[in-house]
Amino acid sequence: MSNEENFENLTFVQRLKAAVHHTTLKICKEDCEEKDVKLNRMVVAAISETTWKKCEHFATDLELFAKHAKRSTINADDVKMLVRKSPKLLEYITGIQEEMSASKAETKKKTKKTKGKETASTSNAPALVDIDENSMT
Amino acid sequence: MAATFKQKTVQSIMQQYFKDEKTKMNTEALSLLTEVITIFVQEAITRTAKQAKKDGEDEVTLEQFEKILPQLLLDF
Repeated sequence: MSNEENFENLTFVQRLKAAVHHTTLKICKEDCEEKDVKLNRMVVAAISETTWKKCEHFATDLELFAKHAKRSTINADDVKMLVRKSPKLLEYITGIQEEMSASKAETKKKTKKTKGKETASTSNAPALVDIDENSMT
Repeated sequence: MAATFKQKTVQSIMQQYFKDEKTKMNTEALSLLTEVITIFVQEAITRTAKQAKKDGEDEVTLEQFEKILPQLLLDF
């Protein structure tokens, strides 16, 4: 049996686990180049397994937080609640959230502005050309 | 840093652990959670590497990871 067939036969959960492992390996490689240390393969596997288990805790916690707030959709506040125990991380996450909402508002403003400009320029452009042509002749 | 988890992967992982199938995540929460998980992995690597340096070993083994694991789990 080829590898591809094997991959097709894996369950969805196993494939997710493989994805987690793959990303963990990528992050490990990057960090190791920076710090000039060598991580054992077993260590990477252990880290990805720990991450996988941690995700389970995150999921159950987030669901319960949302449920407690009588919501069925998890929002940013729930994630902030999740990291409440480490102040630095909470600060960092709050910072990212503010950045995200700020950039969102900016893009909204920009799209509005550019739209306004576009309509203005399209209405003005032909008139300008007309004037130029008149002055030239 | 370039390597992060894919939001789609994180969402699938979360979705399969939710007890209520109606539970969803909005995009903001998803990107924040992705960041948290990425930081978790980076923190694990950093602490393990630090422990290895403390022990004066060139190659990191499971022994070092086992040493930092309890505090890592307590911090997240």
